[in-house]
Amino acid sequence: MNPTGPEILNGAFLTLVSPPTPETEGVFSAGKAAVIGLLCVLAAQEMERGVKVRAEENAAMRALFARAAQEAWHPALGERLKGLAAGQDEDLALSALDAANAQLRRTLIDLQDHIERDPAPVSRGRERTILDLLRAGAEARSLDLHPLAAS
Amino acid sequence: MSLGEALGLYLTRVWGHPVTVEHLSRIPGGASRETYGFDAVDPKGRRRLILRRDPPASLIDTDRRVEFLAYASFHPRGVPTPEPVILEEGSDALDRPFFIMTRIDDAAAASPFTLDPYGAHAHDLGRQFFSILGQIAAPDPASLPIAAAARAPDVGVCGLSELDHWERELDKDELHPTPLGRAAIRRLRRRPPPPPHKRSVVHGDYRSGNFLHDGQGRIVAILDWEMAHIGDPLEDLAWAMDPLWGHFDSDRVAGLLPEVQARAHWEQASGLKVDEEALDWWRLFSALKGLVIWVSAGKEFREGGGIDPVLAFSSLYCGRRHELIIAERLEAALEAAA
Repeated sequence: MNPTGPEILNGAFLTLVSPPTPETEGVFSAGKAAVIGLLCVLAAQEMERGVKVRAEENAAMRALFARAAQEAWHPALGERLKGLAAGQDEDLALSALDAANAQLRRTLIDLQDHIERDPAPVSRGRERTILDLLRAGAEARSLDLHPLAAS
Repeated sequence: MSLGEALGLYLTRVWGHPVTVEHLSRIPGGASRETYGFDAVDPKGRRRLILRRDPPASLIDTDRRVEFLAYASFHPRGVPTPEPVILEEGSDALDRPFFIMTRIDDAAAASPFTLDPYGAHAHDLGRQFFSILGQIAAPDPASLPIAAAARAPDVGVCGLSELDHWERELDKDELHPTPLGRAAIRRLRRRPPPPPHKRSVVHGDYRSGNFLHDGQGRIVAILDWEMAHIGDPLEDLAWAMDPLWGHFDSDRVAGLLPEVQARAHWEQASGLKVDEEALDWWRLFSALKGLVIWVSAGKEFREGGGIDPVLAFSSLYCGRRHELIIAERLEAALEAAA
């Protein structure tokens, strides 16, 4: 699981207040500080988008599950799909959104596995639909790192 | 007792004469081991050395014997590497196992996240980088010291054996479900790669950033052999060309050369031909392997109290890059099948 923005900043605090040993002064400490700097850039993006990205991904999976249940993509999963599709994110804390996301993702993995193994032509379109959802989620979560100038 | 004092006592005992350690200084990078530069001073003079010590927690669980024997395998063959000096597998001397090798000064490694780090030397370095990889792939691994310690699957199952290894790592370290990682595993397992023409030593982390160059267009050392094993040489080629290591340059692999040139240098030096189907398999595998490494980094960041920024950065930035690369590769495969 990726560290959340608060975890990164807490970690940065703990790292910065820990005194270096004689062997880690100099180049190593400077390198560590540079990585913390990069992490702050990433943490800022997580702070800005983290809730939105998770809430949207959860909503997209619920919508997919509603459709999959209705169209009987995986009859054995029908009740689980319906139950998850009816859920919503009432608690917008990152930890709560991640907990819901984990539950939804586990079901998505089961559904995708079933669809991939199903030889029916209709499953190829469904496979594509799931992959589109995953691609969109990966794009939404991706972070911008401005390239550093070579030294 | 300080680390430097303990190291001096150890070298005094092993070499049988008084040794003092000077300028002991930790070096950034090498996330699977703590890396220190130091000078060992004795009546004969000064030796510039590197200490690679097992960490309390690491990005990847690796065997320091394999890494040491990788250096022992290729240093005598003219592949630019440090010379291995001492392997200590006990924990009495420095609390954890370690090894020592020669230090190469006045050389630099590029961060994977810099833009055009090699400048006008990119082409020359690229030719050497992919030719050296071919040199690593060429010899029979059974003839090399590393064969005594590295995992070595049968030639027909090199790909699936590696896939098994990394799936086990994902099972062990996954704190949050990764549908794209699981989809990649299923895809790779359903369509295993054709077997390689031969087995080779696989460096395991051969990429931009893991070599030292002298700033004048010459590679002086290939480093970080901690994931070395025996297998399909295309594994290294695919990893070296993975977009994550491309320095934000979509026209050149590893920020060095156009892919067609990189492959030509590799083929010439290795005497092997690239099988397109196999390379495609290893490209997706590379993205999966990367993702698993970054998943493990996230777990270790948490278990280590959240104080290692390299683990956090790897998990967050690299992990998400590799998820996106997996999605793109799976989409391309689906389109090709349609």
